Amino acid sequence: MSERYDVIIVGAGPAGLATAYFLVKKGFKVIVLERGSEPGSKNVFGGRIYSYVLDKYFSGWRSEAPVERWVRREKLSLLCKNDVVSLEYEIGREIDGYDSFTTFLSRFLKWMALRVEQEGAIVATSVRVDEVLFDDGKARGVRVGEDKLEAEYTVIAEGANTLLLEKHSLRDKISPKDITIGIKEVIKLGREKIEERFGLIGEEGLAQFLLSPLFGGGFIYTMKDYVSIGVVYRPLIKDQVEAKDVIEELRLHPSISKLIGDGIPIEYSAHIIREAGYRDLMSKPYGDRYLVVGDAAGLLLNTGFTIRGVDLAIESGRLAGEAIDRISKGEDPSIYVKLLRESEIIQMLKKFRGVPEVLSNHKIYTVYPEIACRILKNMYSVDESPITLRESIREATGSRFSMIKFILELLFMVKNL
Amino acid sequence: MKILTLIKLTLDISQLKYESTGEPLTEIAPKKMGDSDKCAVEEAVRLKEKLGAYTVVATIGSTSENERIIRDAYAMGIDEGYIVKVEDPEILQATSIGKIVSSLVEKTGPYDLIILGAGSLDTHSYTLGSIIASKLNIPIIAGVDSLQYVDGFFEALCIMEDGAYTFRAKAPLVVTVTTEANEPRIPTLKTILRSKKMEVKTLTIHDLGVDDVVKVDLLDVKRYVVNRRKILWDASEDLEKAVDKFIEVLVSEGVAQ
Repeated sequence: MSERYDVIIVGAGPAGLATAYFLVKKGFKVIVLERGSEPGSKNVFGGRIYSYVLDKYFSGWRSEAPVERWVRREKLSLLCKNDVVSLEYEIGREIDGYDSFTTFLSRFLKWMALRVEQEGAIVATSVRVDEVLFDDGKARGVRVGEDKLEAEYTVIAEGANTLLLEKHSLRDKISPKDITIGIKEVIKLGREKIEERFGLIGEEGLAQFLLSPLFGGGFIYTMKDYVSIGVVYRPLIKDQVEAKDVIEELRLHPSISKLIGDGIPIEYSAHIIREAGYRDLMSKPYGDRYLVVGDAAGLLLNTGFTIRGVDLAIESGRLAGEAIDRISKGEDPSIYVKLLRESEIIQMLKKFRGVPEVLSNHKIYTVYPEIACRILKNMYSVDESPITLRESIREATGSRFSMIKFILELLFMVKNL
Repeated sequence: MKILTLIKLTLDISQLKYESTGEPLTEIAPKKMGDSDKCAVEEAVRLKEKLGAYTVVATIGSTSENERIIRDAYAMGIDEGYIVKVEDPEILQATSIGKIVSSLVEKTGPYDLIILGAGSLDTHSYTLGSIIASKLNIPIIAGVDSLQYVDGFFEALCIMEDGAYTFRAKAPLVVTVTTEANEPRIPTLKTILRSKKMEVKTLTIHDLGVDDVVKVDLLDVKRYVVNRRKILWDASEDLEKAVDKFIEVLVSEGVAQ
C-alpha cells in the first residue's frame, strides 16, 4: 500500500486517542485504528472522569465535552443484608469547577475522536488489527486482514485485553488473581426522579462506592437521565454468587431498589479490569519503533476509594506523544519510561501499590460491612438496656475474631489506601 | 452504465429498548444504514465490478450520521455520494421522498438503474420504489431476491408465496432488493481509508427545485405487544380432563377445529 503514516495507533480508547491528539498537534501524520464500530464501543466504564487532566490539555472542554453531571456528592456505603452504613462527603459550593464528572465513555470518546480528527488525524473504525508487523524486532506497521499499513512508529493502545501484546509475546497472559470483572447496568430513571431521590440539584451528581458481602465492591454514578450501577467482581472469591447474577444482588438490595427499582435497564456490559496496579506495570512498555500506552501497559490506578483510568490514560498518551517526538529526533526509546517515571502516574501507582492486596482481602467485603452495621444498629437501637459504644463494638466483633486483629487489619487498610 | 443507490439512516431495531409504557427509547438507539439498503449498495458495487458501472449513492437527512453511512457506502466501493438536507427525514412522506429522488435523478442522472432496499427497517411501508418508478415513468421490479444482468436485460428472481418468478426489464428501471439478494461485503482497511478522503456532496431541496415537503403526522409509537392468555390447567389430577379443556380453548380461540 502506498499510503504511509508517521504513527499508527491501535485502539481508539482514551489512551490511544490522547496519544493521537498530542502527536497530531506536534505535526505527525497519525492514524488511529479501532476494532469497534465507534470509538469506545468496546469499553466498559463506571462513569467518572477526573477533570484536572482535561483542564490541562483540552481547552474549552467544559462547554464542549459530553458531561452528564458534576460530582458534588461522594458517598461510601457498607451494605449488609438489610442495613446500610454510609459516609458522605459533600463538596462545598465555593470550589471552582468540580474535580470530576460523570459521563458515558462512548460519548466522551466520540468527542475526543472529533477533536483528534479536527486536528488532522484519521480515526478509522471497524478495523481489527491482526498483528503488528515486525522486521527483525523493529515494528514496521500493522496488518489488517489482507492489508498492510506501514508507519514509522506503532502505538499499542489496545486496552485491558492485551491480545496483540500476548500474540507477540510482549506481555504474559494476565493471571486470574490480578483480574476483576467490571459488570455494569445503565438504568433509565428520568431526571426528576434522580434529582429527587439522590438529593441533587441541577447539574450536581453523586458518585457512590459500595462494599458488601452480597456482591463485593460496587458503584453508583448518576447521569442526567440514567443511573449507572456496577459491581467489581472478584472471580477467585469462593462461595459467592455467580458473575452473571451478581448485579441482581446490587439492583435488588432494599436500599438500592427503592431508588432505582422502577427504572428500566437499557444496557448491560462487562469487561475485565486489570487490578494489580504497580505489579502489573510493564517493565518495558516500548521497543524498537513501538510504545504501549494506557491500560495495555498496566496504567490503571485503584486507590481503594476511586478507580482511575481515563485521566491516567490521557496523561500516558501525552507522555507517549512526547516520547515519540523525542525519539524521532534521535533520543533513545527508553526516554518513554524516563518520562513515565518522572510523571505523577508512576509515583501514584507506587504510592498505592498495597491497594490490590487490601482489596483482594475478602474480609473487607464480607466481615467489615456486617461489623459496621451491627455496631451502628446496636448504638441506635433504643431499648431498656442501652449499651455503650465499646460494648457494641465488642458485641459486633467478639465472636468473629479478636479486637487486636481487627485493629491491626484496619491499620493495614488505612496505611495502604 | 450509471447506477443510483438510495440508502436510509434507520434505527438499529435489534438494539431498541422500550419504556414500561411501550414507547421506544429512540434517542439512545444506535442508528445505521438499513439492512436491505446495504444489500442494494452491494448489488450496485457488484454491477460496477462486473460491468464497469459508475455508482452514486444518496440519502436524505441532516446529521453527521448521514455522512457516516455515505462513507460506509464509499468503503464498500461506491464512487460518489449526495446528502439531501432535510430535517426529521424519518417522518417525510414517501411521496415527498419520491419527489426529491426524481429531482435528484434529473439533476445528477440519467441513471440506468435506481436500486434501493425493498422496505426500511423503521417504517416498512415498501412504497418508495414504486413511487419513484411512477414519477420517472420507468418500470420497477420490487422485492428482488437475486439480480443478474444478461444480454442487455436486468433479470430478477423474486421468491413469492406461490412460487419463484423471474422478471426481465431493460434499463432504465427501479429495483428494490430484499436482504436475501446478497451478503454485503465487509470493507477492508484500504477501502475505509479511501472512504475517509472522498467528498460527500450536500444538496438542499431548493437546489433540487423542490419547494416543499410533506411530513407524516406522527401520533404515537408503541411497542407491538402480544397479549398472552395465560391460562393454566392443573393436569396433575386428571390429565384426560385437562387435555379436553385445552382442546376446548383451542377451538374456541379458533386455533384448532
